[in-house]
Amino acid sequence: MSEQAILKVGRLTGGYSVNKPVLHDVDFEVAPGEMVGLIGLNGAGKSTTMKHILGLMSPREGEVRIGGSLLKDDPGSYRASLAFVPESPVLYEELTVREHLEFTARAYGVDHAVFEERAERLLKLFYMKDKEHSLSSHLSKGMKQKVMIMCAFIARPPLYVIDEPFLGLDPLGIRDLLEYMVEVNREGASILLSSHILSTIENYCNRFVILHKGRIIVQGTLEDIRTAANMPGASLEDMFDRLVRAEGAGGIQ
Amino acid sequence: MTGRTEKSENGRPIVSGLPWAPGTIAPMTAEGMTAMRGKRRSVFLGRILPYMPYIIQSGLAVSVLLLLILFSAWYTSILQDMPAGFPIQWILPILIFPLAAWSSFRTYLQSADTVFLLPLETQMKAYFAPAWRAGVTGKLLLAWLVLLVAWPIYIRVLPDDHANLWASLLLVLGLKLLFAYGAWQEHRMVSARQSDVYRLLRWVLSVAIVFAWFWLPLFWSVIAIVVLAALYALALRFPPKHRVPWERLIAVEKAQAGRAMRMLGWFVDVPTQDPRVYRRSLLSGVGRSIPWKPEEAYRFLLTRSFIRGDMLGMAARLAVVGFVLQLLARESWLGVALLLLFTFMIGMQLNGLRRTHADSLWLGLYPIPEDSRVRAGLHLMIRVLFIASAFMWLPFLLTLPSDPLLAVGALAAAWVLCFLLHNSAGRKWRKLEGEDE
Repeated sequence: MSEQAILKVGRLTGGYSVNKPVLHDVDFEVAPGEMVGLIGLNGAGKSTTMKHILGLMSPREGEVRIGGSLLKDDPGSYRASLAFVPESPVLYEELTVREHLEFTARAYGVDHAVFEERAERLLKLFYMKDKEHSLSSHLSKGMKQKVMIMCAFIARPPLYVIDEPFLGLDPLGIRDLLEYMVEVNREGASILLSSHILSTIENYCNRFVILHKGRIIVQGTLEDIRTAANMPGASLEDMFDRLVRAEGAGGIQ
Repeated sequence: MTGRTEKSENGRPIVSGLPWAPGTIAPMTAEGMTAMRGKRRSVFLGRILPYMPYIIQSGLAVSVLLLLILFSAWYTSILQDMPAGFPIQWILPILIFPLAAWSSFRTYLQSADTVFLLPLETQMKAYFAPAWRAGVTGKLLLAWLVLLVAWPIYIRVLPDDHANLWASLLLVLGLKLLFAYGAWQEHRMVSARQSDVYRLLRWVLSVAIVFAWFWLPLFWSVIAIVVLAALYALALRFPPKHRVPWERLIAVEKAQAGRAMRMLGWFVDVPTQDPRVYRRSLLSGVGRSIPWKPEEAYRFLLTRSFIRGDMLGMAARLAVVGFVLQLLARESWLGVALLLLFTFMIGMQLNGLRRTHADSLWLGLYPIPEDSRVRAGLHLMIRVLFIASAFMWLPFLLTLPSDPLLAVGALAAAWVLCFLLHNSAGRKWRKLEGEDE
């Protein structure tokens, strides 16, 4: 998988302070067309891992490669290969919904005509058409989250990093988002997704990476995890419960 | 709750600013409310005051002193040799009406207050009283000062006018109280649209009343003032209102604190706060023609932010004041000096473009070239400077037939200054960007 991986996080150790790393030896890959779920308790290191991928934090040890290159090698193509949906919406108060989409499309070099087409479809899909000219400061939290999601999908990069996207979304929004993720997946894009709604992502992700206290305790397909947890046929939520509790007690017996 | 105790039970002085010992669970009293606002005010001042020495060093003190000296010289010469037909009957009301209508209040309310102070809503009067007093007093003194300074000119030009000084001072006091009350009711109105209409009404009435006083015969002016004021006070009773307009006051407070920090930002680098956003639908087409490519993406963002932000408002206000002054001074070198001064002041404001979106997450993550921010900022700066200086120069068109050299020279000088401001900003910004990295 290694040669074709769109995202490769290699033996990553790092955190906010030099002496106290949050992440220890985190090592995983995301292949083209794959959706990988990054799961863990609050404070397990999911967001920190994402910040390293985005280049907002620098690894103390290890590296992050997107499309084979490091951020410092080719910042332009690294950035263009990646779209990010943050856990809490980060919007420009002085821009309307449509202008957010337009700014993103301009930045990612999306063709004008293609932009119009994608914007139209996304606005309709997420029931935001009547809000397209609203200033972002007038939107509810869920609508702001939808703007973040639409911005990521307007760019259509090969890799999406999506942090807790379901927070604040209405039930239709969650369903539409999942369907859209499946669609871009099918077209070959990869998604790294963190979420606490395990019952939802269980059916959508190809593989899972379970983080606990900054270390990967297990990773693989649902079947791999069942084997590791010794729980045939169990749900992701039950296995997560067992694995994480067992980790506190010294591992699966 | 008993009165203020200076020392807590263990004898340590009280530092919380509240009239009871730290750690005491006490009911919130009127005294406590007043003390809390006082505490918040001193926290805010504590953030502002450390920057004062830098501001004085930045040349502001010298500029103000210079302007004062220039003004005094002009003032003395006018008094000694009054030009025939000096339009003081226009100038005085134009100076007074904005000062009478202008009302704002510093409440220091915070978002968390909607949780923690909301239960005390019925007792908030004590909290707002000092805000109200401070809001009226400062502006009243300023309006009185302007009136007192202009008065010697006024009585020289119109020695027999009915508008005497004491009555005018009293009128200004009455208007300040009336409009401050009106502005507070505007905040309380449930409908934002109604609030906008009443704000417009306040400004229109201020123009009407002030001009009525200085232009109509005594009898009619008194009638007009009494009737207009009474109708206004009556009209304020109709719109539905909140007891305490929490969200509006918090938004207004945030904007005012932000504005204060941005004004500091003209002189020193201060942490910027969330900007206030204005819709400005008329300008919604600006920025559409920016080329559709990643190198120009930030220019699109900056242009949209600029047209909806405070900076455009500040630049536009300066340009309008500059324009009006040119109408009066366009026939002398003073006009050129004022044109340059106002162009310079607008340039100083536009230096704030460097800080716009400085901490934006998306500019770090999106694939746009690193020098986009500086390039787009400078590009916008020179355009705005050209447009603003050309606008302020327009009154010189009237001078063009009689003194073409002065008129054309003024524009040329202003545009040279625009280039100089642009180049100096470019050097400064690039140096600062280098330091930031």
